[in-house]
Amino acid sequence: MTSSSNSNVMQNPLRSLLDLYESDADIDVDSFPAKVASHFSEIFASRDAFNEIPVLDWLRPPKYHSDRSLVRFRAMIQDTSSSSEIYLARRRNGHTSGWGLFADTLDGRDDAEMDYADLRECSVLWAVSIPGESEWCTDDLPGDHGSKPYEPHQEARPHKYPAANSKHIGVQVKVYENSRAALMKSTEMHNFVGVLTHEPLHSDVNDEPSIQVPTLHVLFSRPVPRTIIPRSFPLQFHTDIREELISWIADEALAGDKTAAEWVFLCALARVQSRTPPILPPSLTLAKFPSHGDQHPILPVVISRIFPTVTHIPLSLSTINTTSFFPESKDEDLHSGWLQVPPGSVVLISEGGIREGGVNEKGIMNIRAIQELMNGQTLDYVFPYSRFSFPTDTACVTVCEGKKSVFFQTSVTVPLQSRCPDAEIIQHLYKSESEIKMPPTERLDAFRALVGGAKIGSVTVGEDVAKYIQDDFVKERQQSSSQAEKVTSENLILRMTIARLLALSYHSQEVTIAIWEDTKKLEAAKNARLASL
Amino acid sequence: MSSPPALDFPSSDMDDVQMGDAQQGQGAAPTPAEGLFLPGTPSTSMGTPARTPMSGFAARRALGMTTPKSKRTPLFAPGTSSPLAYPSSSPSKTPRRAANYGPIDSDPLDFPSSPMRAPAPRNLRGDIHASLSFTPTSSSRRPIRAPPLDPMMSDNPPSDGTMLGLPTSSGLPPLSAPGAPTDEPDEIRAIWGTTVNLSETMKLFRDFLKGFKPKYRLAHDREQGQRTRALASPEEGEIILYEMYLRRMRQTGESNLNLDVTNLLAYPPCRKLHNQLVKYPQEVVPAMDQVLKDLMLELADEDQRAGVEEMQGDHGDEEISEIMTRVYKVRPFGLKPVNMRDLNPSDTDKLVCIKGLVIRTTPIIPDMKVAFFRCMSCHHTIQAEIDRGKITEPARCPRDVCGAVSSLSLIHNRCTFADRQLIRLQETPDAVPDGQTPHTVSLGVYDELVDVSKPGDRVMVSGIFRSVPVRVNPRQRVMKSLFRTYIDVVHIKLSDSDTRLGYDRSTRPIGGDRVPGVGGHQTRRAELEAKLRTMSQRDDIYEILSRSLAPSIWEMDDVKKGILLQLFGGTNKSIKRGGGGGGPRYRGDINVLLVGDPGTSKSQILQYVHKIAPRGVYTSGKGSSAVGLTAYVTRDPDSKQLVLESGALVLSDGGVCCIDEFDKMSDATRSVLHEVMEQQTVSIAKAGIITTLNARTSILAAANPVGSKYDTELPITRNIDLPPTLISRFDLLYLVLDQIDEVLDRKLAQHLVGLYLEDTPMNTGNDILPIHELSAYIDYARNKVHPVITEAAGNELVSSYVEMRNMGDDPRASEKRITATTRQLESMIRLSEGHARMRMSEFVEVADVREAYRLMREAIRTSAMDPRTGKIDMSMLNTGTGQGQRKLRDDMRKEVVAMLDRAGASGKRGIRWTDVVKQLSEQSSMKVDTADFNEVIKTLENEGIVKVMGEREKRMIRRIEG
Repeated sequence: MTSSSNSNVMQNPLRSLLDLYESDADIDVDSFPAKVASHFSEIFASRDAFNEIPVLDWLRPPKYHSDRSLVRFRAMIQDTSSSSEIYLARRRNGHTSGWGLFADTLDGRDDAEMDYADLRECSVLWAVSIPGESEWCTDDLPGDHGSKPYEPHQEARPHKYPAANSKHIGVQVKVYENSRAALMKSTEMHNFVGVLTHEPLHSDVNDEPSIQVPTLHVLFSRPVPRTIIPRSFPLQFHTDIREELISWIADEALAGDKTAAEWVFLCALARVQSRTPPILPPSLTLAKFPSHGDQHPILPVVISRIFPTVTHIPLSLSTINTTSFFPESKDEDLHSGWLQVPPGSVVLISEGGIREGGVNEKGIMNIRAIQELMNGQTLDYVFPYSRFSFPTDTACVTVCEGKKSVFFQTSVTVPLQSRCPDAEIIQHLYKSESEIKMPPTERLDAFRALVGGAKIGSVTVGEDVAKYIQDDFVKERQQSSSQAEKVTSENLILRMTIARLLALSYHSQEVTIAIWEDTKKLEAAKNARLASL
Repeated sequence: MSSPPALDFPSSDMDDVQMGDAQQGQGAAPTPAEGLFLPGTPSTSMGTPARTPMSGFAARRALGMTTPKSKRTPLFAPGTSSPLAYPSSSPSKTPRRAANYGPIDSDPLDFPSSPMRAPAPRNLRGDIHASLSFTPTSSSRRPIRAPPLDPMMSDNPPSDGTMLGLPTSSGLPPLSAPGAPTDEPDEIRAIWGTTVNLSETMKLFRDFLKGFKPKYRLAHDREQGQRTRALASPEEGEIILYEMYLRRMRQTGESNLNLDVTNLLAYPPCRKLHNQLVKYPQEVVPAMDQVLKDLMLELADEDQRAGVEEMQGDHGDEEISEIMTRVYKVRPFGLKPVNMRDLNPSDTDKLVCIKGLVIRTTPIIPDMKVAFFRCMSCHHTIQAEIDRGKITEPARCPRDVCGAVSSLSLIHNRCTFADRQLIRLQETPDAVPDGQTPHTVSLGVYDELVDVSKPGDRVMVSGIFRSVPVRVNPRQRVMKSLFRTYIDVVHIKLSDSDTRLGYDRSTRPIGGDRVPGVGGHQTRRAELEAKLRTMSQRDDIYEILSRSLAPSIWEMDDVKKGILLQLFGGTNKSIKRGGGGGGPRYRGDINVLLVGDPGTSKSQILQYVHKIAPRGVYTSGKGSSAVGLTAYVTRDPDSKQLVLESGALVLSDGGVCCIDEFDKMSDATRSVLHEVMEQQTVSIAKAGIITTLNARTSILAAANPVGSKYDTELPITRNIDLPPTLISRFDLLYLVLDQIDEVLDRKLAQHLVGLYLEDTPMNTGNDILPIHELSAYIDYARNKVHPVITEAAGNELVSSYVEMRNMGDDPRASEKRITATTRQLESMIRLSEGHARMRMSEFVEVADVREAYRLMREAIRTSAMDPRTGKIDMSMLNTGTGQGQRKLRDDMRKEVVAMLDRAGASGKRGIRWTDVVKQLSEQSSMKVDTADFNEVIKTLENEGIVKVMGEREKRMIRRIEG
């Protein structure tokens, strides 16, 4: 495809769609959507061609684009519960009504032309900007950043986004390729390319005319990897890159505490390995983390500079009691909740804002939702008279002031220890975003590549190491003098999980004996701190 | 309403018009012959390109008809009055009706003011948008009885020809073509665009009703490889099933016949009727209704002639005329349910069956069927059909003499209404693909089906799938090229087989909300029942079930078995006679307590049970799964840290309450549990009223030992921070200890390392039941099996109890230790009952008692063993202090008093607390337990023998001289 044809498509996507439709006189309406997808996907197959498509995001919201223009939208699917929409796939005049063609109306004369055999379905989804997506992830998509003046975007349905107040856009997405749409699941990330229009919200409940919402008629879509930017594993690094990364987190966010930084880093890398048997990411509590009024710690910001998707939930009694942490269907509209985040996200929960007071029923359900997410990596979506359990893949880190979290039981608790005097600690932990010292670009890129690779990598354990671990376990249990220091099977499971994460963080494909010993050292350091509390 | 040219569009009713079209349209009519179809009746599968259902509509508009008329097509219904905007169940589908009253202005002299003279009711089914008119029976009885299609009766008067169910004379405007129906060529009786001949369809259905016998169904089921129920007698298979149903309908005054469509398939001559019904329900169902009514009359007449009881003479006549006035409805069901999201446009106007969860119902919408107007000036009255809530008020009095303009007013209490309701049905969790959110579909229910289902019900509905275009604006003719879909329900079946919902059946009135109608509902329940029964016959069912309980948990077989029996439970017994509410009740619920080291998967077991148990509640120190809870964040006075204090415990009557961190429970909650566990009630005081609620809950609790590690040197009561009174209320108490054992440790490590370090771990599942089957099994057994103790089992119980009591008997010891109390006997009874239930046996047998005894003995052996004496002593659990401990305290007391006396003799006024402890431990061979010591001193102080002075370390114990 030549670039001129690309620009033709971009200027008038519907024209080229029609051309495609008309190019085949004896068109099969059933296979047409697939044909559309492969046709357009081919045109934009190359990375450059794809990147030329205008972006739809918070900076370039729907109003920024002209009606019926071609856009791409990197989004998380929020809601798949809309019923399919039925459209007239073939009209007498040889056109189709799909993809928002022909102003969606039939005038009187068209009535006579309608044949019920030509009705087809398209799936209607609600997609939102990826929650917690780090700003740097957008950088690889060059585009004209707000060069055109536009009015600030007013989101029509903010309740469809996990963090209702943050900047985002929500779009009604119509997918004509039904076999593909059937595979699209809630919280999955996709790159939708299609024709942007404004249409009434699809609903079969409302009798009053529904609101107009931005609507994307999808020509083709591509799944987005959990790291957003494609990564590979293993990569060759200088061994000090990892240390540097941990020191950077420690210096910028944790008042120089490297042990805590390493734990945070490892737990943030974790993902679901398997559900049966459950090998789930360990949850971490960073204890003894001083609170500072209602201020938010800088930690989530620092983490988001190197991790692709990070969500910060500042807990306070009002967030617990009044906001929703899990998606809930109200009046047949699935409202989002804080925890509806894409797989691979890091959720950072800070308890600094908690004061004494009552927790109402909603609050208890919210707390329970987080706890269940930590324990079982599932999130219940609440529907009338039923609950649906959705698998999640989220690493959870809680920071709290006390010895342990007020609300949650986590698999690991690490108390923060800093050499700084107390007054300075607060300044460190709660500094402003502008005070973060960013490493040089190539370092930063290396950090991100390390993180991204580790998030998708896999490690194995050799026979000999497995044997070593077994012997170690038996030996340790025999040596334990008292009940308190006895190693239980749960300890072993946790230790194996951490060892695996440690291997990933080194971009090592195998858990070695050295890594196993390191894991034990890390655990010992943590236990020593806990004991000294 | 305007007065259209009589010949072309004589009726005010759209369907009439179409009917007219159809008849004239045998070539001559200007509009295409689409009359046999309702506009909303496209048959997508037929692919007849020329057919354009909307053409009549368009044509009319082209002819300059008024807009309201154009709106009458159901396809375009804006449904202004309805909250969910459906095309209404318009009554106007019955042309006859319109023929009689519809053309208000047609002939005022003919229909002056008493339109009530129509003898037979019209079939105003809201669910079927029938395009065909089936003339209801005429007022004359005898001719009707003649089956219209019976060849022998072919010499019927022409009026009976209308019985053929095809466009009838009455369906025609009076002026258009009188007598036309009799001349109608045969092909018009076919469903348009198909080869389906309706008269043949009617004949088939008639044959079916008169010929179907249960044996056909059995044969069919066997062919399909399904399990069949054995007949009680060969005669049972030979009953003419539907004649029996029809008679029952007459006797009960029921007018709905539920028709299992599988029976159509099973009856060889009618196989194709099944297909026709599924494809063209709008035509076939009214035809069936008509056949049903005819047969009802025929049967009544037959019975009258035969002199059947209650059908003789006048009574019979009455009965028959009653039947005549009724509207009979066939309600087909029994199609294979499809997934909601698999419904697609090609199913439009076909009969479909879906399952789902009712999430919302509207109140009953009175659907005005016939409006009644009266002229204010001359009192002339007119009836008008109301279409989709829209009253077409006649502009002027139709009487020529009067002709007053805008003089008509609506007389509400003489209008006719029908019931309508809109329902939103959501997919059930089992039907939704992983990771998807559920879809919802709208249902329209009519007449008898209104209020059959309530929000929260799981239902299986059969109905006609409809797609209608979405109108951009109700006032505009412009439509979007988009469509909405819904289902007009013809049959609802409440499915109660789902156990996970676990609703309390007692909250529903007995037979109060049954689905209306007569006709066999052979449920899937029978199948499930058979399956579960077969399963229960397996020899290793006990092992399978206990293994399935928490398959991911290593070992702990006895604990799992105990919990399994808890899930089945014993039988609740109450003595019927006696004072108060029927005498004492004996609980059948089994309570289980797990105590043990942290990290021994106690919580996992609890979570698992919570998932299996119907109405299970999971509570722990950190929140609860129950609704209606609140909690409080407060600062711990000791540590100054914020902690979450959970609120009240919520229990569910008839469920299992899983309480994790039982030891961390507040005292208030514990006191509630005392009552719950023994009396099975909860007392609530609110707003000055004290009331007692039932809480028949079994408790599964897990507690951590004091100091989060179990000290094997101490008895269990000292290891858990729980009052002994509460501990004694548990039937089974298990110690789950984490013991160091090299062989076991190695096996465990191997298992775990293999499991957790593989990248894609193997799923180790051998012969275990999936969670829903286990749950179904338990639920079924709990509801259906109520075992009774046999005499042999009773004797075994007695001897086991005696044996258990004798466990404490030590001929060498002077004192008697208590090893079993009546509480243990009751527990044993419950456990045996639970075991019998697990086997689905109606009787508790010796084997059940043996297993119960074994479980109890194992549990007691670990929990009631006094580690200091190595002997079992139940009083340790019951009172908190064991026999050995009591003896120990007595010794200690003597020694303390002696020590103080010695000190007093040597002139000291008292001894320091710490010194006493020190001296005691020097003397004793055993460790002096501080708790024991405190207890001893407290008793002495209470008795006024000693006095403790000072604080903490400086405490002095002083002898008070008597």
